[in-house]
Amino acid sequence: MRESKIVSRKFGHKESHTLQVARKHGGYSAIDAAFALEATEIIDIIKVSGLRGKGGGGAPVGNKWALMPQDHDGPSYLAVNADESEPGTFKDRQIMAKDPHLLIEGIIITCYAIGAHDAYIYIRGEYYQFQQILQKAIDEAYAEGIIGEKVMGHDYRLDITIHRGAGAYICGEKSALLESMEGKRGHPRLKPQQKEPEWYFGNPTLVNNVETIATVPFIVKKGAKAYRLYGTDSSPGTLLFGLSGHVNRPGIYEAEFGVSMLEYIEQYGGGVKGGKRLKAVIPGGASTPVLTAQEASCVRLDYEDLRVMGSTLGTGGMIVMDEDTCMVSALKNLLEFYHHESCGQCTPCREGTGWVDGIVESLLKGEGTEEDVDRLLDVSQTMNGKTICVFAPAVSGVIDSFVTKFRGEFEAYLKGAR
Amino acid sequence: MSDITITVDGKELTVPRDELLIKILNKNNFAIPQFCYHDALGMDGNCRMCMVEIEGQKRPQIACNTFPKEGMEVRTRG
Repeated sequence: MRESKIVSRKFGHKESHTLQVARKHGGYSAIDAAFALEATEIIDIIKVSGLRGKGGGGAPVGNKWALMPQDHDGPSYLAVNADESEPGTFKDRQIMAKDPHLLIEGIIITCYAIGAHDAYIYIRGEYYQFQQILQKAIDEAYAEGIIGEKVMGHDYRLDITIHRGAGAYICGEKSALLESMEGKRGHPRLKPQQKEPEWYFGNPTLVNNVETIATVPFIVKKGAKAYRLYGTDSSPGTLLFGLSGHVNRPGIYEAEFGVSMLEYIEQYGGGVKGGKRLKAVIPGGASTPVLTAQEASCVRLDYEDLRVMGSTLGTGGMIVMDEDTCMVSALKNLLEFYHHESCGQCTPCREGTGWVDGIVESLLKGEGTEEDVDRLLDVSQTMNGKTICVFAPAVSGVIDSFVTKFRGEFEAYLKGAR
Repeated sequence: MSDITITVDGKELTVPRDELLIKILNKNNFAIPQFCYHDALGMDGNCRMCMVEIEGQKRPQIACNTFPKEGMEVRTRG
């Protein structure tokens, strides 16, 4: 596996979060290159690079940028999604803690490309410590004239404001995020019939993940081709994959798309803890269908290959489980989370997450029946594809994968069988 | 605005283009459950009870957030 560091390039340096160190290692060198181009040219470069959204969806970023009207009568906005609340995912945190100036650099270029003069960073409330680091970096950038009335001497005003979330998982959904930023309850909005940008107080707004924005400076500086040198044809570039759970060295390690999952776990994670055997891997944050050890051993880490396996890459935060893990308890743990975090707007999700949580709890107590296992699948079917946002379909995918792939363990908990 | 033709459960209907599907279904006596939609309040779209199948759409759609299209085929009974 070759080393491929695009976003995490400066992470290893001492005091890497300060402007001085960032500048010494090439920070903000993409700004002049960006301002030498037209806004639409930058969007074209991003399109050619094939950059895909790194917050979990994996949608082409260039197309999303192109939806932003260049001639809107009124302000446009950029909202950076730093509400990283997916269990098992902690990559944005690393960027904000280790290289906040890379994020600011990306924000400047993105804002210029879409014609926005105000950027908001929606950071989850629990990230107080990282918000402090980020705010310090923003203050440094203001003091040095990097942002403010003039961006590094160019005739372009840009202000960056941090908005702290109040602890709701669903506010990571882009329309719920904007609702929350508007001061309302964080409920996802109904999806529009045709493709259009998001709206913040009636003005077009681009919502992108922290890592996506942090990748932009590299592409603008080095060109789309340089980015395409990494990864596969349809999933170009790199991702800050993460490892947690039963591995020897959990953490965030950047790798290019298309590397083998098992090889990644072995090389960066140092293998499964205690020399035990692998049982299952949740590939990309808790909301993606689980893979068995056998599936994990032959899958490559890119969007297409995981789709073939019936799962999704998500955010790339892998949760590794060893042979002693009880899958029923693991599912219960996840369902408790979903039950708590369902925003309650759509009935199938609000009721369904509670029901499945209850069913699995009764299974764990030994009070379940054969029908309960099937009922899990039935409720999951009712939740899938019938709600406003993708929360319920994600939960449905998790339940289906756990129950169908590890049915034996669920049945072992049935009354009398244990 | 000109009227268009849609099919609901095999029955052909001529309907105005700018009327919500749920209103059309209610007017034409198709029993469709609904909690959060009311004529006077408009659509809200979160009880998810008024879901109908539309030919060519992968997932069921809520009738209270759908406008009719020429030639649309709607099924209200599974």
